This record gives sequence, C-alpha cells and structure tokens, in this order.
Amino acid sequence: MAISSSGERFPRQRFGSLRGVRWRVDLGILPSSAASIEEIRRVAADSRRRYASLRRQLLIDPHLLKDESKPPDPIVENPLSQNPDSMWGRFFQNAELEKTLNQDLSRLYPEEGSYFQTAACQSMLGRILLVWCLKHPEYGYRQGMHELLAPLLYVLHVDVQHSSQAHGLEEDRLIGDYNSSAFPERDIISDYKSEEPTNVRTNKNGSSWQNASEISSLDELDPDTRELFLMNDAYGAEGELGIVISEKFLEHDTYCMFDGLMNGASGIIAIADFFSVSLPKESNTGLAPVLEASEAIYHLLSSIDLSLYSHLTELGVEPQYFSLRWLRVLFGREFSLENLLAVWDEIFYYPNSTFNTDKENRGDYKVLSSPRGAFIISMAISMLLHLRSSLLASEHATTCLQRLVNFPEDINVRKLIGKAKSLQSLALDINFSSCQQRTFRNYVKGDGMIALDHPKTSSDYWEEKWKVIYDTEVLSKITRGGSIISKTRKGLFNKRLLSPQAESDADKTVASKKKDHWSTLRRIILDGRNHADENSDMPRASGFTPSGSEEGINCADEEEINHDVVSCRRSDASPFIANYIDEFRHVEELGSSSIDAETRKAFNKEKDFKPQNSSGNEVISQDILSILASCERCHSCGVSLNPEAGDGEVMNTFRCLGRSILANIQVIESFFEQDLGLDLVDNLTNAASNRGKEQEAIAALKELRKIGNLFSGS
Amino acid sequence: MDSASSSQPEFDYLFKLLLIGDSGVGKSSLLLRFTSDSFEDLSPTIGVDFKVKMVNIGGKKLKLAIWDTAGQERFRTLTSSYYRGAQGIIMVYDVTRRDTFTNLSDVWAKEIDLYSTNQDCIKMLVGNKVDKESERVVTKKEGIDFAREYGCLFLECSAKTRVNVEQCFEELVLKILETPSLLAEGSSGIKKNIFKQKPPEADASTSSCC
Repeated sequence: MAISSSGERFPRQRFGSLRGVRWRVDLGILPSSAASIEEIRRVAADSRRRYASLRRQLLIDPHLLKDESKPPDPIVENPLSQNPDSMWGRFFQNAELEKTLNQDLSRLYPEEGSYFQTAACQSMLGRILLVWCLKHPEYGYRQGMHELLAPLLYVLHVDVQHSSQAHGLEEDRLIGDYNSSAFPERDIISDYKSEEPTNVRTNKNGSSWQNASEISSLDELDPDTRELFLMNDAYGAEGELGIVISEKFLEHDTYCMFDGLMNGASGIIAIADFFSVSLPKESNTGLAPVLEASEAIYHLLSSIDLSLYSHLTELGVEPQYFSLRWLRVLFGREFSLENLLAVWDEIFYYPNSTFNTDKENRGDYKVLSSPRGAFIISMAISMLLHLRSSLLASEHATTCLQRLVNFPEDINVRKLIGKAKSLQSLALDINFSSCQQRTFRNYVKGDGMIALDHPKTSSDYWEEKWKVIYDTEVLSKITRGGSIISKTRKGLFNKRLLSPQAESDADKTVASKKKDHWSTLRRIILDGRNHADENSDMPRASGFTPSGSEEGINCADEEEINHDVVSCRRSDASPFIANYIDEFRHVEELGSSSIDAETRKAFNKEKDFKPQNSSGNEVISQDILSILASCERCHSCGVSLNPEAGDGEVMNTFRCLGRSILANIQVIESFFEQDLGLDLVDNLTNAASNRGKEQEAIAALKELRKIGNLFSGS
Repeated sequence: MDSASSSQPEFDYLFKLLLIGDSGVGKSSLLLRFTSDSFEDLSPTIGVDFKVKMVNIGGKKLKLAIWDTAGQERFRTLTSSYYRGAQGIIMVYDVTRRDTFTNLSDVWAKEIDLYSTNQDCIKMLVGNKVDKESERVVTKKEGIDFAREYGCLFLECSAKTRVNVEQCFEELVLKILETPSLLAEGSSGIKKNIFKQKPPEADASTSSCC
C-alpha cells in the first residue's frame, strides 16, 4: 500500500493537461492510457453511436412519427390514450420528468451560473439526464444527479477550448505535412472534403492548404501536441466521429462519462447506488449503500480520531445527516467548482476495482474495498478532521451539522486531499482486517435503525496489532529478569500524581527504559486514534485518552498520561503556549515536523531532505510522508527499532506514528486557524472553546515532541 | 465536565424545528429569509440542511435548531430520523401549486403521524409564495380548513417579500413555550444529545418544571 506521490502526478500522466480525456479514461469510457490513438478514436466513436441510438430510442416525439412506413394503431396511439405504455403516454411521462429536471437545472450553480445557465447548456444537460433516467428507471431522477453531471460537461467544454486553441496555434505550421506523401489516402481525403464542406480544415479560412509550413512532419512536434493533433484529426480513424475532443459530441461524451460515474463501469463504487434506497444483494451490513458508506465514514473515524467520533455520536450526529449530501454529489456542494475538480481528479484517479475477487473477503464495507471508495471515505475523514476543533467546541448536534454542511470556502484543497491520501491505505487496511476477524456485531437500535458497533471492531483490530508487538517485548523482558509488569498500577499512578517531577531513578533501568520506549510508542499508536476516555475527570479535549479496556498491560502509559494532564492543568496556559508557538514556528521554518534535529539528521542521511520555506502546513504533511518513507528505508537498512518484531508490525507502527503526527499537527493547525479568526465559532462559545483548544494544542505539541524523542532514541 | 457548562447558559431553551413539504415550495427560502433576511435562488436541498438561530421570544432567550429537509427525499429509514426530538414541525406548501397542497394530507401529515416521537409536538401549516397572487390556486380558506381539521397553526407567507415569515416561527415557538412537556425537553439543562429521548438525571436539578 504505497503512499502515492503528490499532486504532480497528472502532468506526467498521459493527457495530463486534458482533464476531460483523463477522466474519460479513468471512468472507463476510453481505453486505458496505453492504448493507441486509433483505438481511442474507435472507442470514442462507438460510445457516441451508443448514445445517439439510445437518444433516438428514448426521446420520442410522437409528432415526428407520422410518415413512418407502418402507421401506429390510432386506438392505442393517440394523445388521450390512458395506456401508459403508449407512445403518447410515454411522451407525457417524459414531459413530467422534464419539468422536474428543468426546475432543478434552472437552479444549478445559481451563484456562478454564467456557463451553466446558457440555454444551450441547459437543454443539453436536460437531455442527458432525461435519457439516463429513462434508461435507468430503477433509479429515476433524484435531486443532486444534475450536480454530478454539470462538472463533467464543464471539463469537456474546457478541453474543447484548450484543444482548439492548441490546434489553432499549430495547424498553420502543420498543414504542409498533410499534403506530403505521408498521407497516401490523400485523394480520398480530397473527395471527402468536397462532400463535407464543414470539416475542420476548410473552416480555416480556406487558404491554409497553400501555406508554407515551418514544420515538415508531425514527428517534430512535442509529443503532447502531436497526440492532441492525432486525436483531433478529422481524417483519422472513424473520421469526424472519432475526433476525441469534439464540440459536436459534447453531449454524447458527457452522457458516457455520467453513465460511467453513475454505474461505476462495473467497478465497486456506482454513485447511482448512493441515490438508491434499496438493499444491494451483496451487503454485509444490511444497509442501503449510502447508509453503509456513511457508517464506513464513522467506522474509519473511530479508528483515527476516537474523541471526535465519540463527541459526534454522543451528540446524536448521525453520519448520514451530512454525508448523504457529501456522497451523493461527491462533495460537489462543499467545494467551489475549481476545488471540486481537483478532488474529482483524485477520486477518479484511484481504480474502482477491488483486489479481492472473493466476495466473502471484501470486508464489511463494500465502499472500502476499492481504492476509489476508500479515497472517497478518506476525503470525508479529512474534511471532518479539518473541522475537528470547531466540532469539538460545539455542544449541540445541529451546531455540528451546520458546520458540516457549510464547509469553509477558504480552504487549502491540496492539503485536504493530501491528508485523505495518507488515510486511504489505512481505510483499505481496516476494512480488510475487519473482515478477517469478523468481530462485527450488528445490532438493531430501539428506533429500528440498524447500526454498527464501531469501537469494538477497531479496538479489537488495534489490540491485535499491538499484542504482536507487545508480546515480543514482554518476552524479551522476561528473559532479562525484569519485572516491571508486577508493579502495581495504583501505586505508580498516585506517586506520579503527587510528584510529577520526581521520576524515580530506580525506574530508569535498562529494561524499563526499553519498556518506556515501547509503551510510549504504543501510547502514541493509541493516541493516534484518540482512544475513548473512560476516566471522567480528564478533559476529553486534551487528546490523552487511554482506553479502559487495556487496563493491566499499559499501567505505565496511563500514569504518564495523567502526569501530562496534571502538568497541563497546573501550569498557567499562556506562557506555556507562547513557548510552544515559538517552537512550532521554528519548526515550521525548518519545514519539518517536530522531529528533533538529531532525528532529522538521521533522516537526511537516508533521504535528501530539503528544508523548505514554510508556505503552510501542507509542506509539513508532505514532509511527514517523506519521513515515513525514510523510516521504511531506515528499517530496511537494518536500523530497526525492534528486530524481534516482524517487518509488517514495524511498518504498521511507523504508519501509526505518521498518522499520529498528522493528527497532532491537525490539532495545532486548527488552533492557529482559530487564533487568526478564520474559524467561525459562535462568539458565545468562543472563550470556552479557546481554552479547550489551547490545551489541545499543547497536548498535540507534546505528542509531537515525544515522537521526536522516540525517533532520536532519547 | 465541560468548562462551558459551569458558566451562564447562553440560552434558556433549545428547540428543534423541522421544515417539511414538497420540493420547490420554498422551505429553504423561507428559512434563509428567517435566519439571514435575504432571498436568492437556491439549489435544491440534498438530504437535509441545518441552521441555528438565536431569538428572543416571549421574554426567553431561545436557540432554534432548524432542520430543513429535502422535499424529494423518500428515503424512509433516513427521513424518519429527522423527526426525532423535534418540538415543532412546519409543513410548507406552494399556494400556486395544488399538488404541493394535496400532498400534505397524502404524504406529509402521514409522515408526521408515523415518525414524530413527540405527541405534543406543535405543527404549523404554511402556504408560501403569496407574492404570486395572480397564480394562486389554493385559497386561504382551504388552508384554514386543513389546519382546523389537522389541528395545527396556519399562516400564509412569502419568503420573497418577507410577509409573515417571522410570524411563522414566532407563533410556532410561542405555542411550544406554552407546552410544558416541550419546555422540559428544550430546557438548556439538557446540554447534550437532544435527540436521545432518555431523561438524564442531571436534568432534574436544572429543569424548572419537575
């Protein structure tokens, strides 16, 4: 599960600058990017033929059928016929549907309506939706579908403009080439031309044929332009019908993309399912797809940020209240069009297939079994985490929900996407392991809603993961004769509470040091997902949330956690935070997380670690990704922290550490955003929540520091 | 537990209100006019939208949590949960479209009976778009008759011209304030989940009526 490279992948990819073409490949409309231009053109032509025939078949106009060879039966086929299957019956049904469609289309992007509100665009969108809905009566038309459609048309429209510009630039220079012997079928072309005076070339002010060219062959063009040229050559395979980027076939191509998106091109995620209320045949949860996907969001959230998860569930914020909209229009309502296209780039980039052909082993959440679905869910988590502090500060369900459905506009979408990417492999992992362990328990709540028992699954999962590391650890200690585990939990707990500074020297044996090392590691893993706080006198917001279920094994962890909380409370927060802010800024300047200098040096050996000027926190998360990558290398070079543990476990630990770093950075970020007044928190709750956030930020910084210490081995 | 709970509560009561009715009758516009006194073309609601407004009505500081549902949504499992814990429900129809009025008895009133968790929940009928007087097809008398039969409040309003919009919410809330069982539910003592129907013990100390 490699961490994918950052946003620059698209320019390197084929059709990098042509979003529409790229999406058509990703959505399964055009063949994979390895295909030849000829093949692409053939497939494009076929898809257009299919739409054209579908449209002919479904959009009936009874007025036009008068001169057909076989006259219709006037008893069935008349405008007053009550028979719904009659031509007129269908005509009136269509008219009804059209009315509904138009009512919604007229409200499409009311704020930036310039392009979408033009009559041509409206009627095109209307026809596409009508054909799709008639073709798929099991779904029909549902509000929101039109908002999935509109961006697709938009990107194709942009492609057309882009390519006609590029075409205009190069065409004159290239014309000579077409007259050369490189095109033996030239005579045919000439014939074709005389029959079809509207083709592209003759449109170019007629005289272009005689123009002297500076470039004598297509091969002299840069590959992208050459490819664009071949794709749009009216004389290539399939002629005009095969012009890949064609204004004439905007409607056809948009339909095909929409259909590919809605039906998922025989992959896992079919967006149409999010509009459906019926139960799919192959569901492990017994939920309608959109509810299952909503549950998947909370399931993943409970593994990543348990305190946020518990907060939301405690308030009664059910995931579908906000995620229904997020999922149905694929975040279309949450972002500006420009940002949305960037999000969709990523969503479509991930394959919609599953590695698991065995349906039994797909995991409990179908949506998480494909990389695309896992990314969609991870994107939702990333958005939730972005709102984390303001959500935690909200004391009422509706206030939370109001924030969730009014996502801030001034966001760094790259940062959100980056976070989603880093969560995506975890999402795939969790689903897979949950299906392996089958610890799921479905139960029916009193109100008849089926819900899933999230924390159980995740804690079992993590517990299992931890145990492997821990067992190895205990084993090694026992052989050395250490008996740390025998220390009573309560005794230590009290001692620390009374004198937090007085760390007993006796504790600092070699063995205990090593144990501390690992218990810290473990705690970080646990804190990474912010385990539920069962110790009620600890502020939930602090982020120190040991789980009660782990009593006995992690006594040392808990006392340390409590110690942290105590010191947090005792100290006056303001000088504290000033310190940390300075430190954080310093760290930001260095362009890395709070991994301390030594550690960074170590990493630098492994990887050329460019200190970057802080242009925001995005840099940091990118850096953490590279730190994680370095860790992988570290490990393979034999700088293993725990040689006894299996490779997989160590890798998991690193991953957890990385996520923990990200989560902590998130907390700090949100604090600073708040500080800058970017956060729209009710004035009334401001003071109270600020204090909580200060503590959160302090706690997060401490965590980062500890991770740094851990890596540097001190 | 939370630092905020020790300080002065920011409001006396929190009420959850629900807006229902066919697609395009102007639920979201009505709400937008009420919460931010503006009127604009709005995209159709997907799922449910949420607004919070603080108001002073009847000498009380009130926090209104208003759930604006999508008219087209027929996802019962989902929509049923919207009704949970609502103290007031506003049924909206468009006076220029008869089907939106007939659907009140055919669809929406039935939904309330089925899903509303509170017997005392206050219902209100609102006929929107009275600014289009020339296109009106549902008379005021029909609205009054329906309201009488169904036992709910009634008003005609226009989100566009803001006629009667404030009054819709005010009348509804005043009625809620007159209903002790609803008051108990909306008491600010219940900080957390207003949707879970269990009466928390902590409530007894802060609630005035029990």
